[in-house]
Amino acid sequence: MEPRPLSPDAWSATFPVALASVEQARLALETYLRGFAIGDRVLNRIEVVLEEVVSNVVRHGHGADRITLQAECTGGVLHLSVGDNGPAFDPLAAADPAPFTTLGEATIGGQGIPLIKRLTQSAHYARDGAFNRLDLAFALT
Amino acid sequence: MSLAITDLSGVTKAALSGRLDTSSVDRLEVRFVAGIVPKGQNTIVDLSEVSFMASLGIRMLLSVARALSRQGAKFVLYGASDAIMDIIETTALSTIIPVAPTEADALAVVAA
Repeated sequence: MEPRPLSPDAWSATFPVALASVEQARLALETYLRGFAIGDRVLNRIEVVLEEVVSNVVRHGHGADRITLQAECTGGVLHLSVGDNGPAFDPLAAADPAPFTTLGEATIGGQGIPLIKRLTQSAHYARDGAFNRLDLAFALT
Repeated sequence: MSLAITDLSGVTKAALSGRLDTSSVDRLEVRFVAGIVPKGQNTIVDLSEVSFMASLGIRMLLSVARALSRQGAKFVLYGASDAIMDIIETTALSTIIPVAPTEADALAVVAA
C-alpha cells in the first residue's frame, strides 16, 4: 500500500492474509492505541470495525496475500487505513440488507458492512496502485 | 469462547462467555444451533460474560432466533454489557429480538 502522508508518530503493520491475522491485527492496534485516552465504547467500535474489515479480506479477498494497517491519532480522531493487495474490490459499494421488520423476514447475514459504515465517523474506499484501501475515521471523544 | 446449555424447567438457557469474533463463531456456531434449535423450547441467552461481538455473532443469534420463531418458541437475550448493547442496537437486532437486563427479566419475557 502506498504510504499516506502520516506524521512520524503514525503506526503501521503488515500481516499475512490468514484467519490468525484478525486477532493479531487487533492486538497490534490495541497496543498502539494504549498510548491514547480512548473510552471503552469507542475502543470497542474500533475493534469491531477492524474485525469486520480484516476478516472480510481473509474470507473474501481472493488473491490477496497481505494486509497493511496504518493508524494515526490526531486532533481527537483516529485515522485507520486498511490495505490489501487483492483484485480491486470496494466492499462499501454493496447495498445494505433490508432493515429488520419481523424475525420471520429478517435477512440472515450481511451486517458487517453496515456496521463499518455506522460505527465510523467516515469510511471511504480507494484503489491505490495494486492495493485496495479503506480509509476509516473514528471520533475519539 | 465457551458455551454452556442447561434446561431451566422447560426453558433452554445458553450461557456464552468470551469473544464472539470470527474465529470463535466458526468453532461454536454448530454447537450453539444444535444445542438449542432441536429442543424447540423458549430460550434465554446469557451474554453477561461476552466481551466482544461482531457481525458473525449477530448472524448466529439471529439465525437461531428465527429457527425458534418458526417453531413458535421465544428467544430472549440478557445481560449484555454496554459495548455489546451498542453493537446489538447498531445492527437493530434489538428491534426484533427482546433484550432483557437480567435472567429473571428474560424468564419473565418468555413466560409472558
